[in-house]
Amino acid sequence: MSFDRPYEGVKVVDLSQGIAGPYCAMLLAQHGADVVKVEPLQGDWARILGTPISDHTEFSFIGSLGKRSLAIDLKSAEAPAIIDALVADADIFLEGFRPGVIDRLGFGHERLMAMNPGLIYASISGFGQTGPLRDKPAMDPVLQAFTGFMLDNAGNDGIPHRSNTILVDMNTALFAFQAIAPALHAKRDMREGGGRFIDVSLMRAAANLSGIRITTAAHREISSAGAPPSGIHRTAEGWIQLAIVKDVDFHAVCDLLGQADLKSDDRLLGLHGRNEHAEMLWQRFRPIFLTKPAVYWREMFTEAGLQNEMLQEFHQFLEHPQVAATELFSYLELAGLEKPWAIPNPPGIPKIEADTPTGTSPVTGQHTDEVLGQLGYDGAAIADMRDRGVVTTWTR
Amino acid sequence: MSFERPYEGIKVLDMSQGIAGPYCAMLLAQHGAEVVKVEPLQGDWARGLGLSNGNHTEYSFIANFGKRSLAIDLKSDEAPGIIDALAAEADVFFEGFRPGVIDRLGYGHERLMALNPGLIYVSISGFGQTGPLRGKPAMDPVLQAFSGYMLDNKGEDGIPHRTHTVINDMATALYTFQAVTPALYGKRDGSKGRFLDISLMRSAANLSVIRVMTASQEGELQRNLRTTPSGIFKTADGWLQLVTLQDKDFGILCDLLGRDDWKTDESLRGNEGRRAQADMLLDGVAEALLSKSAAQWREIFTEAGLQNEVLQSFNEFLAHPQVIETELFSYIPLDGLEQPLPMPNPPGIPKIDPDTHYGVSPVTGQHNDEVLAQLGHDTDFIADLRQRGVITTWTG
Repeated sequence: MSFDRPYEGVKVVDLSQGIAGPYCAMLLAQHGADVVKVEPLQGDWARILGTPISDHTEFSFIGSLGKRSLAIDLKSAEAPAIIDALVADADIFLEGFRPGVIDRLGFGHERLMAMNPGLIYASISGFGQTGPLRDKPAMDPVLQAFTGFMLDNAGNDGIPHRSNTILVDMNTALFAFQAIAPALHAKRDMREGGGRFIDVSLMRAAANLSGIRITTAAHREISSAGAPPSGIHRTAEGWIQLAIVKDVDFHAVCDLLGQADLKSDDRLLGLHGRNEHAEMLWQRFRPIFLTKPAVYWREMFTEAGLQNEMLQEFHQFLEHPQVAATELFSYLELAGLEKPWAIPNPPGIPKIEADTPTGTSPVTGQHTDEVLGQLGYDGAAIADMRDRGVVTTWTR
Repeated sequence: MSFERPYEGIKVLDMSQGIAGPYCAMLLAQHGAEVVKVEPLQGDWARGLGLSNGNHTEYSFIANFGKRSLAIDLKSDEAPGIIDALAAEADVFFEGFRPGVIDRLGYGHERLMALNPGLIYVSISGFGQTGPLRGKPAMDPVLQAFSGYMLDNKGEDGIPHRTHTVINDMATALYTFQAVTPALYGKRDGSKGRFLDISLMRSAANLSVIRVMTASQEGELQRNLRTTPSGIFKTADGWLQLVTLQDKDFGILCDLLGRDDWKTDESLRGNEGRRAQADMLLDGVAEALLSKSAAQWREIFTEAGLQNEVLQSFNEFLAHPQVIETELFSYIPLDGLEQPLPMPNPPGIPKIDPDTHYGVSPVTGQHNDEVLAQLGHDTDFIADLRQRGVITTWTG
């Protein structure tokens, strides 16, 4: 254990693919855990999701940072002994196959936890390990549709759409971390055992992510529009967003935009009141925003202490002085990329540095020899497995 | 420490308000930590965010389960003695004031960590504790705009808009959790406390990591037409999401929609070919799907093996058999509401039970007497504080 990386010494075997499971295990690796990523011979399917660069895409690169990769044919005769040996002294095991598949592969939680009673075994699936939809395959967009998020994410034209950020996958990773970290904490107080089975689903994460909207929808009509003049306004150049909650701020906006007469209208007090008269307020305010560029409005509102923001593109965000001053991103090179990739540093983790283990994202099977060597396999045995296509390492 | 609630015995002093900090502290409480929420006399501002029911809104309700509330005037003469006594024995401290404010209040991290060297001191802010924007107040929507998310969340009409789910607040809560829990783990081995600088900006960048990485290569992101025709389509009665991955899927779709002309058109082979004529294809699919209900299309497409999903509302989601069978929600009564509110159960936490303190979200100052008595103050002292308006309890 080190101060910077408290999970040093913790061992993780990660059979998950995609992003939800891998990203969770990546965070554990960044906190110091020794994470062995077990991949099929053709690699994690995240390696073809997105823009392929060498053996990576954005998905596989971020999801594998700081791990060691063992690429092995799980159906080979040698696999059970190798996986079992890894699991025997692991603290955490992650898998993300469709419910039932991992049992057929022989690495179900009952068997592995019988072998290692201290194992924290996390299964990540679309809809959970039980219920009528358990077998349904589901990636992020399916859960955005299923849980109500997508209908709630309708545009001004009323047409719902998908959030391009894979919100459900990312939150599944974070909620999985949220389940695993306390379990790890508890395990330390136990002489033996202390393992547990954790059933994490994209559905559960999505429900928690949108908990406030769901709770609201359960007892009243939810409006998709904020109370004006809160909202996104088209300006003479670009877009600006204004967030007005308190009446005093609403009155300040009225003064700034030459609509002082609205201040004396008691019907417009409170968010509820302004929502009730949204159409009238929009008609008043919208044309005004069109007269000046977003930078002008930003200056004016900021000066007045009102919450506002100009809409930036991701690449503009990357260039902002606040981003530089807070060392928000590390930049990592990868063969085949014209420019290094911008990798955001999560909070509470030492800055990701290129050319260190935690700043390296392995290609498929990059650590096959190393991992097998640690398990006691000699060079000849490894070479033999490699010859017979049991294990592999990606080469250009 | 208990197996079910590993953080039993951990003490948390939570001075944060809103969602990001409180939600993280709520998760710690669900895992067993003893969380004292310190609120101003008028209550956490989340109690006024959204529609109020008694002393709660959906925001304050969700973010404070399992905590005890102490409502105290931080500027009173008695406050320093009381807060210091709580901080002296706390493991984790949360605050979410604008950078600099907590120092002026007298509870900056330098002083509190000198008082309690083992303290994990968490500051949550919009833009971080350093940099040119550190003093700028910012709630969730500001960071949706600033980080690039909002311009990426355009409707079909090209107008960007806010995601109503508070994605940055939630991500901040969860990234904070992933920063705090390894620190707590390390503390058991004697590592000292630490100061964690958490910002909504950093969380937003991490949440959208995949999009940001792509943008760092491509600049402005184009409309995602990687697989065409895919998207969200209006049906006779609702919305349906359809994914056409490859030629085989496209062929099936042509058969189902009776579009032999598309099927035999060589220029529509491969996603590249279809991308070039995306508008034509999307319009064609959109028109065809209007003829049947979403449920009918789901049956037709699922039968044919095409990935699709009906867009459900939050309330349809709540009523789904998969949600009920997996006990995704607990239902918690709130005074003033006829129906109990659905609370999503996070993974890895015992089901939220309204008959335990884990299932109670306190009103402002609900536990004043209890918390102060534990610090050794007698009833006369407490009554005097109450009389002089130093502490208060919401009474409706």
